[in-house]
Amino acid sequence: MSCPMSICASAALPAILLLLSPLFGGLLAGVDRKLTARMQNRKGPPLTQPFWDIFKLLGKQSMVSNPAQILFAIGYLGFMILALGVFFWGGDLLAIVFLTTFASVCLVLGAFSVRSPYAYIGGQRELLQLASFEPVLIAAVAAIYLKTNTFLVSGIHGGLMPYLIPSLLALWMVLPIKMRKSPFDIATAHQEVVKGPFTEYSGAYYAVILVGEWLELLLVLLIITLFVANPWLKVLIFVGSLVGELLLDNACARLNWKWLLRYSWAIALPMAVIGIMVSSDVFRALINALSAYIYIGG
Amino acid sequence: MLTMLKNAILNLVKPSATINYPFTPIPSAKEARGALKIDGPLCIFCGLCSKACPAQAIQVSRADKHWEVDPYQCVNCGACVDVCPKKCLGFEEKYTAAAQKKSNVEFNG
Amino acid sequence: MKTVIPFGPQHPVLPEPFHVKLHMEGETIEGLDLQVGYCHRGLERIFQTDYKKVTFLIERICGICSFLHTLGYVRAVEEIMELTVPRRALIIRTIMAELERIHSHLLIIGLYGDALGYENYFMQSWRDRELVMELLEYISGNRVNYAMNQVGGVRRDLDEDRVKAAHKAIDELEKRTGDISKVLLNDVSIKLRTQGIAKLSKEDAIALGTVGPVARASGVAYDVRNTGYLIYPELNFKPIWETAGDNYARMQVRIRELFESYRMVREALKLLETEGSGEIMLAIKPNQRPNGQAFVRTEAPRGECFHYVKANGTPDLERVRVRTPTYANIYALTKMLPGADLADLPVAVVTIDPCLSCTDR
Ligand code: SF4
Ligand code: SF4
Repeated sequence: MSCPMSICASAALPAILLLLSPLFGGLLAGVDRKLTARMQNRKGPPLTQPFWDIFKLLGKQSMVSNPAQILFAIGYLGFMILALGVFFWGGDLLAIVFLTTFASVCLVLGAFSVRSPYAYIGGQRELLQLASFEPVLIAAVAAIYLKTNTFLVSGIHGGLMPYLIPSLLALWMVLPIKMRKSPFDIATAHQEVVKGPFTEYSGAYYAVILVGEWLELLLVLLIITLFVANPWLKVLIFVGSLVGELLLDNACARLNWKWLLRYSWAIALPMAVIGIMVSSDVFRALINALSAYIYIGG
Repeated sequence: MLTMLKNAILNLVKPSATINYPFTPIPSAKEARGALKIDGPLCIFCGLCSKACPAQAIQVSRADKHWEVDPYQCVNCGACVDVCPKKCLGFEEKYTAAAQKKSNVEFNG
Repeated sequence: MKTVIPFGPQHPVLPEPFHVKLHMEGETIEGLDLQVGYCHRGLERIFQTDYKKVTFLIERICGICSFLHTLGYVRAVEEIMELTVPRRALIIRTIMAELERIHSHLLIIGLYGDALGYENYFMQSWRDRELVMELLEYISGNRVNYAMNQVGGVRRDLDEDRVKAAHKAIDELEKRTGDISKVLLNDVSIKLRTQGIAKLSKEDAIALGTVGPVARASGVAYDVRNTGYLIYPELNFKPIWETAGDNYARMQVRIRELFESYRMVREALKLLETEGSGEIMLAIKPNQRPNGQAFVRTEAPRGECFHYVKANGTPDLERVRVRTPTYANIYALTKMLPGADLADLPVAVVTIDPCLSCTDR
């Protein structure tokens, strides 16, 4: 994986990266499935399986219950591509956050635009997930801003450690929500709501949604790599986050939406707020003053 | 949670419990009732097997010296094997593989 | 906001089709209507045929408790024909019945993990179940629908190799079930999701006529194996029961029953070894035909199963009637679920262990 910051000056590389991102995303999804299978003592599908899935979906009949669905499916993918593009060109982090939010809102609207109760409940749950994930993400971005005085991805030079450890922890905590994995895969809990917001998509439109999901996974993991500077550490944190997340997925049951809210608002959000606090200058000034005081007093 | 975490990590290094079917064939047990087979020349076309079959999978015609089983209707119970006076019926241990077209197993004497 | 959700007949968590109409208030279930009958195959009509063929047909009622259905049926016919089944056949039947219980319980314990979104646990349970499936295949010749029973005895003997293989498989299974039970009983995330949820009180359990693990989890120590058929009295069988009556307790009963089954299979295998070989099948003369009627009760993995057979002196039976445990248990859902979350519905459904192909026949 290349370091996006160092190449933001050249215009060609981000474009190539963006073009290749579906490939990366698909492979990532393949690795995800293979690793999950291995953790469950199964052989698992080949790494290229997600691409075969897409080809198969493209060959299937695309049923549409409401034409608006098509718009929302394409909107979801479109916003994801935009967000990823902004990231590769070293753009504004805040813009990335809001673009991904728009993408998720597209999903929810797509779910609400059909009359299926499963899609409907899935949409509500997706909103809940959004409400648990976004505040933490925004708080993390705010913490990055306080540390670096810029929202630009390209403006982040060097690592953000160690002041941003609480923010990173908070992001890790909400990662299962974004990745739709246990214990917080409530929106797409197939035992309860079939496929949640995706229930009413089929054929080519479902393929569009799937590609969007890959990109989302890729983007979230890429944002996490911003926290460290060393390219090797970046790779490590990228892979580590994925593997850690899969391990968690395979070591616990799904909790329900009450637990989701309790967890994200009572544990992850305060952690993110602590992240903001420790990265702010005021806080550091306070610490300095305090230590000076203790030093003098002692 | 910790038990399963340990289990998941251990599973990563264990050989997988599933096989690459259909490229690796499934081992079947000794004397498993896989697919019905007939040792043709012994058959006297008495039709007892056809009468005993609960699934009506066997057709026998004494006049035409014709014996026929529909392997997709056969439920592998072995009732026909028990009643055959010539002991010419038996089972292969391997199961019938999936096929694109159904076809009967026939024998003409 | 009130909504009505059609849950099933086709739904990922349901292995078999049945329909639940859920009346929801937001994410909370207010009430539900149940509808079964999507799996009707007219089997009871087909059973009006040669009584020897019915043994093979009746195990097609269900793939999971197929041995149990033949067991109930042949016991009824043997009662009508007043046959005394050889002792070795009885022991083999007991072993088969318990092995089948093991395979059924491991299956549902796995599905329980699936309903909870606990994929890894689901896969481990099904991987371990493969051991008992292979053993069943080795003993009977088939993985499911074993064609093992016939009126008058069993069709295959357990030779020395098979007894040895059975001992080995049971030992391994016991070890692995120990691991699974650790997760099922102690895992925090499972406990959070199941303890105190979808409760069925003892009164309701009795009033609704529930049977099997569902009743036993609510404090009704009712197990037909207590009535002393096959060789259960010799094996010192004791029913296993809990009192909590929630999702957790129902699975707790099942996992404890597994260990009880392992013990009984082991003892029965020892009986086979010590008593040496013997008759396994009575010879029935062609002119000996059932005449009369009988009903028997048998403990299926899911609870008490009832078989009624009526014969009239011809080889063809007049009527075979089956009353399956799920028919008694499934209605308990209407008492358990009101007030629970939508997320608890799949779990509660799985803890009932519904077998719709039995119920609809
Ligand atoms: S094995 Fe059973 S079902 Fe198959 S042909 Fe023989 S009697 Fe019929
Ligand atoms: S019972 Fe045996 S001999 Fe008679 S028709 Fe069948 S296979 Fe042939």
